[in-house]
Amino acid sequence: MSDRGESNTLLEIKNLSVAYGDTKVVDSLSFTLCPGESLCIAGESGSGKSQTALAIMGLLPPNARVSGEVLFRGRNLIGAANDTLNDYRARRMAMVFQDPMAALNPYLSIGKQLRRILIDHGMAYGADATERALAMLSRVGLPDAERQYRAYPHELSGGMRQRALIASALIAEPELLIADEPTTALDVTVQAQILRLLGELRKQTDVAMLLITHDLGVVSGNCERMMVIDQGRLIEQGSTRELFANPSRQRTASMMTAASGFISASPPRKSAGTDDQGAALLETRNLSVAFRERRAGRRQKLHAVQDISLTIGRGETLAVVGESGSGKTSLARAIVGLLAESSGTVSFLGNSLEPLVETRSNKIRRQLQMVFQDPVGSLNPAMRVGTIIAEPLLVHERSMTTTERVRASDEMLARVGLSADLRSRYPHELSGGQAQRVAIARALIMKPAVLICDEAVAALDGSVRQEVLGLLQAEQQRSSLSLLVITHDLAVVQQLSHRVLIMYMGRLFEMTGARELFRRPKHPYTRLLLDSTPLAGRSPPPDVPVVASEPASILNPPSGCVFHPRCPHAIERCLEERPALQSAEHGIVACHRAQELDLSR
Amino acid sequence: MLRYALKRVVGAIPTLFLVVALAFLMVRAAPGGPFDSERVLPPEVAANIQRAYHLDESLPQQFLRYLSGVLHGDLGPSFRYSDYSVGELIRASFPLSARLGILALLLALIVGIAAGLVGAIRRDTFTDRVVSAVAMTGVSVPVIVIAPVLVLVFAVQLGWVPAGWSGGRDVARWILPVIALALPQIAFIARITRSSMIDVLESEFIRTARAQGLQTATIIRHHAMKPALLPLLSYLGPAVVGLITGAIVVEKIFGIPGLGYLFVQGAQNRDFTLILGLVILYGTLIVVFNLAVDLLYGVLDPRIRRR
Repeated sequence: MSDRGESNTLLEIKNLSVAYGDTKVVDSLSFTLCPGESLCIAGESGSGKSQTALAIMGLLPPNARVSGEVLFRGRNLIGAANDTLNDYRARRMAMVFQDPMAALNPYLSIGKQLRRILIDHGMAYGADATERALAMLSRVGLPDAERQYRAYPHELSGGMRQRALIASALIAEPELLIADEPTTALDVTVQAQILRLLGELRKQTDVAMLLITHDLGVVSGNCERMMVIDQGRLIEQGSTRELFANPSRQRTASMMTAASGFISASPPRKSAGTDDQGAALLETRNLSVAFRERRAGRRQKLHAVQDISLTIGRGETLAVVGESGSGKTSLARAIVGLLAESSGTVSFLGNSLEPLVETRSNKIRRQLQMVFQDPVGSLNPAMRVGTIIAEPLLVHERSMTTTERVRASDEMLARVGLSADLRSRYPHELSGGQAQRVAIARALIMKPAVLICDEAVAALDGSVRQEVLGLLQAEQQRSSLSLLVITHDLAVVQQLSHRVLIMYMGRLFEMTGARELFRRPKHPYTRLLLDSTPLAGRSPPPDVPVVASEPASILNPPSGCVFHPRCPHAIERCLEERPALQSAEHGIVACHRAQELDLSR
Repeated sequence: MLRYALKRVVGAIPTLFLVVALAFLMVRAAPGGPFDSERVLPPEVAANIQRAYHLDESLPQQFLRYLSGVLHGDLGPSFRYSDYSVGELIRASFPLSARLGILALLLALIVGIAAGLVGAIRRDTFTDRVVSAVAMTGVSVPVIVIAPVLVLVFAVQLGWVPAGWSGGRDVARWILPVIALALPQIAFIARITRSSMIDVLESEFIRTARAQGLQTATIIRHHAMKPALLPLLSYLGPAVVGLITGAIVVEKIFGIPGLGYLFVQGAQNRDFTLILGLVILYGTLIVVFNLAVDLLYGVLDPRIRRR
């Protein structure tokens, strides 16, 4: 280690390029990182940010052509032998990957995976290695480290898995930590915890961090410097503070809009023709979904949705918000009639509907349409775009001739902002944004009254997401379309919705106007969601109590209020008595302390 | 676990019943009977024999009689080898066939896994191509072709090993039959091992292991070996089937007096009870092996283990 301290830079990247065939995915990228510093590489998917990280670690696939220099303390690692790289990996630079479930070996216990690193690098053996692995697990905030040591990845929750992965990256005390989208696969409340953990560990160990993300909200508060890349090229860099205050490039600005929609924009006003006082267009009463589960030979009921009553008026947008496992997708499917396990009633214009879509009349079916999360996966790969869009007409407009159907589908293409020559393409030839527009066109061609969007923009990049949200808003203005938006993303809520329903473990926690929700949340869980959402240009308020847990198992829900184990305001009563829904200023809330708590900030 | 195993065994009974019933019908549907021969028997004698073996009863009656025997552990008398019961014939031949099958399976596992691993680790090199080409040949060429070719080359031309069972000493006479029986299985196992190891090596958790700076040998041994070999477990069921059917051909060609040999004899002689007895034995073996494989999966795969 004679070269250590020779220069003041830890990592220097000079003209790094990565190409596959004729396609350059990283194009002459240069930057430096000092010891202990934190730098963020931001970019949308396909911008080459992950490729840059893999190039530094020497993990690119064999068919990648790499040129330029990656100087770690002055030593060039490009083209170095695998044995040389292994001296650097883990002990001097380490990496945390996006999806901890896939990144951890499912066949080995967490402890064995950690120990192996120490043993293989000759850093510790036997009981010593076990002890150091256990110590590392406690340092990343895993409760009951001994148990997690023996656990297999599938037995841990998403957040705990990511902590274990971070433990494996830091166990050999590296000087550089590369975190590639470390929180993208996690829920917002968990994301906030992991980001906080990374910050704390950085303070304790003085490790330099290269954070890679598409979400500018994650950057602020976590990195001193940032660079924005697009199509493999650096387009902008500087201190995080300056760049947020004054982005000079269009691309940066649009990524920031995507990330910060929710502080700048105010919720939309209802369009003319909305009658929220009048009869509800769509209504559910005590809608419940219970799946039968078999665990350990015992039959159990999983209550995915419990007693949800909601209404949507004409031209109104209701957002259903919750973390993964909150039951929001089951709710949407039960409304459309896709779940045999539902009970309670769904009514449309005052008439109650058959529970299953198969037994509903065509007239009703066309009124309730759905757009799904995975845009390409929800389109038939063997059909052309034009056929996909026109297909519903075969059922719902039987009198139409082929020419009329083609004309109608072309009109729909234009209406969702796609050019007519896309009609002969297949779904896999479309980008994510284009495919989602096709899915929307297919739904709208039936002139539905309600469009149910299940995480419809979750898989899309920032700027494309904005366009699709804009399209939905335009359609609403145009035809008084009602929207039921299922989402985990509060920025989407802010931009699109008039009213919001907050769900947690299948239950309704709060339902209120969007504006009131952001200004004066009534439920502590809503407050937690708001605080956890990272916002561009805002560091998380330091005094927010971080709840170090994740939702309990829905098969074994906590007593009383199901949120009480995570609630900073829980009192005795919350442990014993399930809170009933009570009316609040602008809506309803299920919390014993709703009246006394002031959660506005 | 025990409850699961019991449930599976009970669940296999209808399957076995169906197999026996089908086999019963099929041997009866074949033209000719066990006592047809070139010398025509006087009608009274023929009728006597038919009566002695209950062949004069209706088919359902015969079937019920047979089933009740089976349930009492009696597979009936052999129609052809009149001094022996089917149980005695099977007991005498079973050790030979079991030895042949186990040796072939061991050989196939050792050589097949080794070849597959080499192919995966040295992927797209000359070695890998050779392994793949040989394995492809092994999969495509049936035992009935391989065995005579082996005999022709190694016994007739080179004279290294005896050509038939009766012509050699104990170790030498096992060599060709075991290899002939194992070759297709070696090929299948090598192909499965290779592709499964390649999948594992491309998975994200192996990339994590590489990012941790682990040596390639460590990665293969501690991270990749188990997940790569697990799919082989589910091939063991089909492998046993392959060995049983392969053994019928191999034993006939080399003249080994095992179960396969008996089976061919039984079929040629319309020895109804012998065929049915062997079908029951084979069916039970296959069911038991598949069950063992499923139970082993539960032990070896942590994701299934704790359910």
